[in-house]
Amino acid sequence: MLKLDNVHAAYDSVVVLRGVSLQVNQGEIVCLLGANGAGKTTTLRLISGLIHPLQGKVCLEDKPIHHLSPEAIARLGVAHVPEGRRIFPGLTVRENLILGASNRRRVNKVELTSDIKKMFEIFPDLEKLQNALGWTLSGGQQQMLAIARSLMAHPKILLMDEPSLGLGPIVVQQVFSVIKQINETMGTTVLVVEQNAVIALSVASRGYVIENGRIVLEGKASDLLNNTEVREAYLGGRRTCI
Amino acid sequence: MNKRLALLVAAVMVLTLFITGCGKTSKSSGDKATAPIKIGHIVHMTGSAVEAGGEEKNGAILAVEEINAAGGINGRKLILVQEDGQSSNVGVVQAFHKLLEDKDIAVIIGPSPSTQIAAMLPTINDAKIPVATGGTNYGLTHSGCQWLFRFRPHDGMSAQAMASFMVNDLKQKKVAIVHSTDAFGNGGRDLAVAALKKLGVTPVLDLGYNNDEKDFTAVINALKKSGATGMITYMTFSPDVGILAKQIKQQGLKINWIGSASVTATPARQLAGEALYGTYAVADYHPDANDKAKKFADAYKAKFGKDPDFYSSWTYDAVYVFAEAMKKAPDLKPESIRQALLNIRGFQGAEGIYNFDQNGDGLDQYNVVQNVNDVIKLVKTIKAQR
Amino acid sequence: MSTLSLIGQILFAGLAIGGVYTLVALGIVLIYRATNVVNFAQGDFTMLGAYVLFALSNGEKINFFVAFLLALVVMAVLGLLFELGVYYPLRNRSFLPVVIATIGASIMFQNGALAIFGPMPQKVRPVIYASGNGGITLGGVFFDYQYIVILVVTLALVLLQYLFFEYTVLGKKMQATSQDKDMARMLGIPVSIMIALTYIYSTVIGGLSGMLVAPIFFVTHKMGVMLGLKAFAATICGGFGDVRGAILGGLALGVIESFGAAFISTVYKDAFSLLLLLLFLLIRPQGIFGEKVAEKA
Ligand SMILES: Nc1ncnc2c1ncn2[C@@H]1O[C@H](COP(=O)(O)OP(=O)(O)OP(=O)(O)O)[C@@H](O)[C@H]1O
Ligand SMILES: [Mg+2]
Repeated sequence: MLKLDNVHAAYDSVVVLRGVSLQVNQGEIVCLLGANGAGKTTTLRLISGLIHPLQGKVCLEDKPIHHLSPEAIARLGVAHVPEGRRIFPGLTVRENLILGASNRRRVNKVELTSDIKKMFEIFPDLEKLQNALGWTLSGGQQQMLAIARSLMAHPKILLMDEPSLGLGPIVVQQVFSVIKQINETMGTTVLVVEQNAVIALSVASRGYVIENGRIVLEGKASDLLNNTEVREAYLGGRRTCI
Repeated sequence: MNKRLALLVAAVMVLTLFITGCGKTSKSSGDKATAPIKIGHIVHMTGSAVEAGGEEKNGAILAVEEINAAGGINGRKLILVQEDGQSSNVGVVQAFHKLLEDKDIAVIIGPSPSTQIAAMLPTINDAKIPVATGGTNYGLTHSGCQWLFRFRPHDGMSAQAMASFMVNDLKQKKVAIVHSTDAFGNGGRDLAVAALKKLGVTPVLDLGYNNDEKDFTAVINALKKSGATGMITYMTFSPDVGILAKQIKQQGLKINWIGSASVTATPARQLAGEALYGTYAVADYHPDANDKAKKFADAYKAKFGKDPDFYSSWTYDAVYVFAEAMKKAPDLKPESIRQALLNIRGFQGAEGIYNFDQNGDGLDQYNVVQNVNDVIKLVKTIKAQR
Repeated sequence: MSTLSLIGQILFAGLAIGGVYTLVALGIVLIYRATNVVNFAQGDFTMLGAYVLFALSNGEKINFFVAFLLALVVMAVLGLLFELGVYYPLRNRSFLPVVIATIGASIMFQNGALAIFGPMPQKVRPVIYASGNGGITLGGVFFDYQYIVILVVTLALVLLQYLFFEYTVLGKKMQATSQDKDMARMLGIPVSIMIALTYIYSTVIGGLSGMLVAPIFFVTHKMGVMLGLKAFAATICGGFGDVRGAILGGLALGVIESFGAAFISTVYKDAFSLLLLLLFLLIRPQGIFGEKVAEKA
């Protein structure tokens, strides 16, 4: 479904990605692990079209998309839950959800209302908050809203950037069970970026490890979970994760 | 290294050009006896004052053509050398310096705005060359500068004319003064207060406002409260006059109004229409004021296809008076021309009769005009004290 | 004249002028919110609108109201050109280059107008053509028709704008664009179109305010300068970037000026807006409404 082939990318003249290749198949949950500054967010921004590669290709369903604008890529069915959630602070929960469907052509009111209702079924907390402004929400609520908003796009593939960041353990569990649920019930393909390897690998089928802009390791989730390097880097050792 | 060399060469070239250029202009050209006499003219060709600048240019051109057709000055023709004053203080000083470089220029006609003349004063003092102006600020000719000659009556005279007409002709004793809060307006206010005092009248209201005012409700309320029956205005911008007139009519205030020239200016009349009917103003130029004024108006209309105004009339007079002085002067040295100017007595110009005093003021009378259904009619000419 | 009608007269004049400040201020705020650009040319849009209306209606070759609508269309086109010429090429640069570009545009507009129309002030007819005073006296208060038109148009526009931004998806998309451009793009909102629309709308209301004041003021190439300054003062007092602030700030400034001139001093009329501005900068720099949308999201 999504394929990155030897992608290089830079901010101004600082090269950040140096040959990233990865693949996400239809219906899979794939996670991308890496330390701070490894290039995870950059990879997702690149897929979304916010930056363009210096070299290499990004293909969605075998068609190259790396030259397209973010708007066009969104219309092709790529939804992005970015780092920091990026809820529109001055709009209400409901309005944020409505705008989630901006990439779809001609959505009628009825469809929109029923989609929103579906979101409230998945995220019951949001229903009573639907008229609250975005900035008044807690971190967990914002994360839920960000995911719900991205689902309003009816995405073929969902890109998630560190959904666990800044959330308590219980909420992290909730978020990941929702991801699993979406993947199973809606068949949405997911590429999730995480530093919390344990939780990410517990829902993913496969994973990649990125370091300094290069993929250094890839494999089945269970294999990675048992890999000593991964264990050292992300499961205790040098760095603790929540 | 090559770069430095190139720079050096360029610098030397510029310097040489500069030096030879200067050499050229400072060298007098031609035969003294028959060469044309040059009159420098600072004209606003760019910026916000181009309209007035165009009128001033036309007036001077017309006078030069007439004088040349009549044989010039002792057989020598006059030519005008124009420099752009750029509608700014800096621009006029620059233009003045440029004109000074040409040593054949005998006299210079300056711009009208008083602030621009004030900016030029130190340079005029140093240059020691007769300069004509249409700036009406009283202080310009009372600053000790011996080289500035004024071809319009100054604001002190307009104040006397307005006060005298208000008190003696319109018989109003409860007089309000409304003025812009710039140098022109504040200066005019002081002069009007002084002129009224001489007639035994103390203004019931003295009200300043900022130029470009768009709403005069507060001014009109103050006028109503003061019980004034007469109003003297020194308003710099004529659109402001238009707005004030309109709102006075709308808000039902009846008042006798005489003001400085802006009251009869076209923009004010366009904007206010009948709201300005019946109002009075002072005007240094009016075609009916004398025969010369009438002749000038006809010639101007024939040549330029429109009616002249005071901008064209004073430069027209300036060229004539300069020519008269140069005819009388023993030679064209600046000091000789200056003396000849000071000796001029009873010279009839379009603006009035010129008699220069030691300060350089040529005129001492003002016309009072009235807006009669959008036609500006001459009411009377009032002689003022200098 | 009773004190009451005197106060009524002053209040009415203040509100009408305040309405004009509001329209100019709204343009400033909308562009600032959408693109983070402080547009110093906004005042000049009033001048452009007035001149366009003058050019179209002069000589009465076309019906005045047709000319009025046409002028709005011309302003829309100008708005698009302004966006493409001034904002778009610099959109990825920092704050300053774009702001400087707007100052450049302002100078260009003024000199362009001077070159085309000359320094002579021009006149435009009022929307309601009435013989006599051009207004009506009620209870000792004179109501200039044009002032009434300004107030009605200001209120109607404020209301329409409110309805548009609150109740339409397009309005929400424009708001989203102003709050977070990259996120809006990732949701598939055509951000450049939203920004272009914002510029077009701001230019049109700027031009409209100029077309409305043209019969009261004169049309000159400088007419937008003071209006722009007052509008800036209004937006800062209201809370920079806040729409309600622009509305309240504009109206309040007009009324304060009007009363200040009448009861304190006509000379310091323009100083009141500066004084108010200083007071706000000292006591409440965030303006009246400037506390919301904390950078929380
Ligand atoms: N806008 C930017 N301009 C310049 N450099 C940037 C920019 N954003 C990120 N970088 C640099 O690119 C590198 C990769 O950043 P990226 O955000 O992709 O890392 P990350 O893996 O997402 O890290 P984290 O876990 O901290 O979110 C870092 O060295 C970072 O400093
Ligand atoms: Mg990141």
